[in-house]
Amino acid sequence: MSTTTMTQSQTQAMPVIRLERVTRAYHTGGGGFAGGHTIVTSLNEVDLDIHAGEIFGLVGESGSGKTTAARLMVRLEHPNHGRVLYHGENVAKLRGKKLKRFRRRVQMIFQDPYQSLNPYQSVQHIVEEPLAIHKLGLPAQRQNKVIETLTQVGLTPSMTYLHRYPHQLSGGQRQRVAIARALVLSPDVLIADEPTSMLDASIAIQIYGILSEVQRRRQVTMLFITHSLAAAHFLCDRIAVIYRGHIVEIGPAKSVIADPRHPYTQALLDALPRFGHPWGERRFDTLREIPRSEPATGGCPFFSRCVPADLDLCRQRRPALKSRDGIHSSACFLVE
Amino acid sequence: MTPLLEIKDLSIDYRGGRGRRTTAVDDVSFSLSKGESLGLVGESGSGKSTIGAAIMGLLPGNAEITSGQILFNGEDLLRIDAERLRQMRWKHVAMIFQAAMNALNPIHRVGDQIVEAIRVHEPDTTPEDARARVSTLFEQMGIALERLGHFPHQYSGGMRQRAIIAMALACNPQLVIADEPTTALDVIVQDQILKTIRALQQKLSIGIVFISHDIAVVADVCHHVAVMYAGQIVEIGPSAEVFATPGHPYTRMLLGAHITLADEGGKLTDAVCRIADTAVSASACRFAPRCPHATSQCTQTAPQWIRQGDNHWIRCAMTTEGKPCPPQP
Amino acid sequence: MAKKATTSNNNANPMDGAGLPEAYWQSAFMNNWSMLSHHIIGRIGITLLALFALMAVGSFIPPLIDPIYNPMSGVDPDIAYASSPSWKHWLGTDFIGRDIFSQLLAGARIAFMVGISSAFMSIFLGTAIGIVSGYAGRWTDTVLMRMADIVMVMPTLLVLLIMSALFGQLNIWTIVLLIALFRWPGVSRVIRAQTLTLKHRPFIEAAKIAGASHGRIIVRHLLPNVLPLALLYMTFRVTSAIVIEAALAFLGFGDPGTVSWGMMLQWVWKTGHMFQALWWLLPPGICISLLTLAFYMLGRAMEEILDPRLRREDPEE
Repeated sequence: MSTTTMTQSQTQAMPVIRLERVTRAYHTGGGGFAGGHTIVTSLNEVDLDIHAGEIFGLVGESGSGKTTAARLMVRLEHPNHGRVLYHGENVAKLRGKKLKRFRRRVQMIFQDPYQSLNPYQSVQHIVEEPLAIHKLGLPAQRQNKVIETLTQVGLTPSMTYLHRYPHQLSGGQRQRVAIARALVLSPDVLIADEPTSMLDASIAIQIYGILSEVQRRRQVTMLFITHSLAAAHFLCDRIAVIYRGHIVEIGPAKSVIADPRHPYTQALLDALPRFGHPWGERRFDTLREIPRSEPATGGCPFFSRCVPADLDLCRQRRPALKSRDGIHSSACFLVE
Repeated sequence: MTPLLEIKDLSIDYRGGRGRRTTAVDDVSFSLSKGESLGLVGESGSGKSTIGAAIMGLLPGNAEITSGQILFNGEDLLRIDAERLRQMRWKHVAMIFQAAMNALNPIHRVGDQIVEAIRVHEPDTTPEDARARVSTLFEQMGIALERLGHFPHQYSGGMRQRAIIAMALACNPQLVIADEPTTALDVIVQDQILKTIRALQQKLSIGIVFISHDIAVVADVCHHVAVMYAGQIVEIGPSAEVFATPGHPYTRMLLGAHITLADEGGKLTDAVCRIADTAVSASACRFAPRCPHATSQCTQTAPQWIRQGDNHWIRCAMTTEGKPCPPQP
Repeated sequence: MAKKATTSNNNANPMDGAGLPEAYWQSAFMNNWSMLSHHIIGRIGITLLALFALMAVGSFIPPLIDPIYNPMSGVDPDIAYASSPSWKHWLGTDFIGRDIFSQLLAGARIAFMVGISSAFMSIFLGTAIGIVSGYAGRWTDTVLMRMADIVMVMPTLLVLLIMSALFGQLNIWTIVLLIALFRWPGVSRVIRAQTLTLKHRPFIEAAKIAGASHGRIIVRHLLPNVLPLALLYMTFRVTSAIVIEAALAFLGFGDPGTVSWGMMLQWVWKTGHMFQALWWLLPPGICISLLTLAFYMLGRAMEEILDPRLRREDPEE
C-alpha cells in the first residue's frame, strides 16, 4: 500500500481486519508416478484493510484466492507468511478466552446453502446453537432472540419456521437461516462468501436487501465476496479486485467502476453482458486472446494476458499497489 | 415455409415417489426459424431444461410427455422411431451441456473423441476428412491445434466448454440446444464463449435454443426470448422488444432483480416481490401468489394470450391492451 | 421485503405441501421405511427376522409348560435316546431325551443376543474410533488406523480358538466381547471415510466459526450424520457375529452353559448322529443359514436405500 494511504489509515481508527503481507500456499499431491508435489499459491503477499462499518467487496474469478482470504479472516486456516489482524491482534495467536471472543465477533455466511446447514438440526437448533455455545441467555430468552433474528432476515412469521428442517426449505430460505445463524451473536464482522451464487436472481436481490439492511441497522463491518463487479458495485462501499492471489486494484466502488485503472479490472468490465450496461459502448480491450508465456520469476501476475503490458518492465518486476489520490490504488506500471 | 423447430402444446409430467405427479412443462408452444436463436429464460424449476431434454429425446425415465408435438423440419420427433431419432441427434440436432467435464470422456484425447463422434454419425467420412474438419472447428473455436492431442483434464474450464461446442457442431447440425452453457464459467470466459457462439451462429446460420437463468446473457445472444414461469411461457417475443417493454409482471420482476452497473442501492425496495409458498390451482394464473398486481380474477381464471406487439405476446389478465387471441407466437 | 409475505401462506411446506414439519431423521426414516417395505429383498429379510424374533420370545414358554421342556436340563424321563418327531416332541429329542424344538427356540434367543450385542459393541467402538480418527487427522489418525489394520488382518475365529484353548471354556459374554473387539476395524474405516467427507462441509465449519468445541462438533454434527451408516453396518456385523459364535460352538469351544444352534450341531456331531437323526441336524443348520441371510438381506436393502447411487429409481425433488 502506498505511503499516502498508510498515513491516511493511521489517522483513521485502526482497521477492523487487516491483512499484512499475507501469503497462503497449498501443497497439492503430485499426480501418480510423477511423485513430487506442486505448490499452488492462493494468496501472494496481500495487504488489505477493512474499516469499521463499511461493506467491502472482494471481486475475483474462481481460483483467484478470494475464498482463501475469507477463510483466513475467520481463522479456518492460517497464513504461511504474514499476519491477519483483528482489531490489531494476530488472529493466529488467539487462544482461550480471546479466541472465544473472536468466535463471537466474526461470523461467516457460506456460498452453498444446501451444504451449510446440518440436515439433522431444526431451524431453531441451527440458529440457537451459537447462543448455546457462548452460554448467552436462558433458554427462553434464547428462543426470543432466535425469533427476533429470523424476523430480521425475513423469515416471517418466525414461529412457523422454528421446527422446520433444512430439507423443507427452499434455497433462499436456507440462506436466510444461514444469515440468521451468523447474526444471532450480533457479530461486528460478517463475511459473506458468494452468498447468492447458488440462488435465482429474484432471491439474490432479496438476500442483498437483507445484508444491506443488517449492515445499516447494526453497523456491522462486512466483507462481501463475489465474482460479479455489478453486484459488488451495487452493494459495497469499497471494492478490491483480486487476480491470481494479488490485489490488483482497490478503491471506492463508484470510482473503480467509473474509472477502472488496472487492465484486468478493465477486462472484467469489458466482459460484462452489455444488457443494461450504462457504458454500453465503453471498451478497453485489454485482454489478450492468446496468452503470452508466463514470466519465469517476478513479473506482473497479469502479464501473460495483458495487451498494453510493457514487455521488459512488466515481465521482470511486479508492480505494487500505488495511488495518485490516496483512496483509489492499482498495481500497474502503466497507470503511473 | 416450415419453421426449423416448432413446439406445439407440449406438456411434460414427472412421476414422483408415492404416485405423485408434478407438471414440469405445461402447454408450451413456440417456433424457431432457420438461423434464429430463441432464449428460454426462467428461474430454477421453471421447466426450461426439461424442454431442452425433450427436444433431444433425453428425458429421464420418470418423465412423461402427456401431450403435444415437437416438429423438427415438419417431422414430429415424438412420433419417429428410436433409430431415426438416434440418427437425428448430433447430426441434425446437437446439445451443449452445462457440465462440461462430464460430457468428455476422461480417458480419450479430445481430438479423437470428436473424430469418433463424427464417424459414428457419418460412417462415410474417412478419418482424414474427419480430422481435417475437427481442426477447422478448433480454429473457429479459438483453441490451439496442439490441444487436439490433449486429454480433457489438461483443459481449463473455458477450453473444455469450447471443445464441447466444437463437438456439438462437428456434424453441422441445423439446431443446437444450449443448456446453461456458460453458467459455471467466469465472466471473462463466459464473454468469450458467448462471442464465439454468436459468431458461429451467424456464420453457419444454426438455429439455437438457448436455455439460461440469466436474462443478460439471453439478451446478448438471442433474437427471440420466451420467459418461463412454473412450466408455462408467460411472455414471448423479440428479445429487444421484450426487454425494452416487458409486459408480464414476472418479466418485469426478473428485470428488476437483475443487477447491472447502472444500479444503485435504491433498487432493493422496488424489485422485491412476495415469496410464493402456495401451490396454485390449474385454473389460475401461476404467478398470482407472487404478483404485486394480482386481483381475485387472477386466482380464479387462467390468463389468455394477449398481443403486445408484432410478435410479442404475454399471458396476463391484468394487461388490457390488445385483445385475447389463441396462442400464435 | 418478506414482511409483505404475510399474505401468502407460510405454513405450507415448499417441498410437498405437507402440513406439520417433521424432523429430518423422522421423515428420512418414514421415507426409507416405505421404500424398504416396497423392496422385495428387504421385505423377505424383515419377515424372516420377525419370525425368528417370535421364536426367541417364544423360547420362554416351553419350560413353563413342563420342566422336561427346559432346553438344557429338561430330560424326558421316558426317552433316553434320539427319538424322531412326535406329538410330545415336535422336532424329536436328542440322545438323552431333551426336546429339540425348545432347544431351537432357546438357540434363537442366544443368536439374537450374541449377534445384536456384539454387533452393537463393535459398532460403538468402530464409530467412536472412526470419528475421532477422521476428525483429528494427523498422527491420531495414523496410529488408530494402523491399529485397525493390525486387528483387521487377525483371523478372528483362529484367535478365538487359541484363546479358548488357552483359557479353557469361555463364557458366552466373553465370546460376545471378543467378537466385538475383533470386528470393529471395518466399521471404523467406513465411518472414518464418511467423517473425512463431512469434516470440510460448510456446516461443520460454520459450527467451528461459531466457536463450537471439538466435542460439540463430534457429538452434535458428525455423529448424527454418520449414524445411519453405522446402523447399516450393524446388520452386517450381526451376521458375522452369529456365524463366528456358531462355528466356535460347533468346534466345541462354545459356552457349555448355553444352548446355541452351534452347540446343538456340535452335540449331533459328537454323539455320532450326524446322518442318523436329520430332525436333529437340519433345524439348527437351517436356522443359522436363514437368520444370517435375513440380516444380510436387511442390510443389503438398507444399503440400497441409504446409498442413492444404488437406488434404481430416484424420484425427483
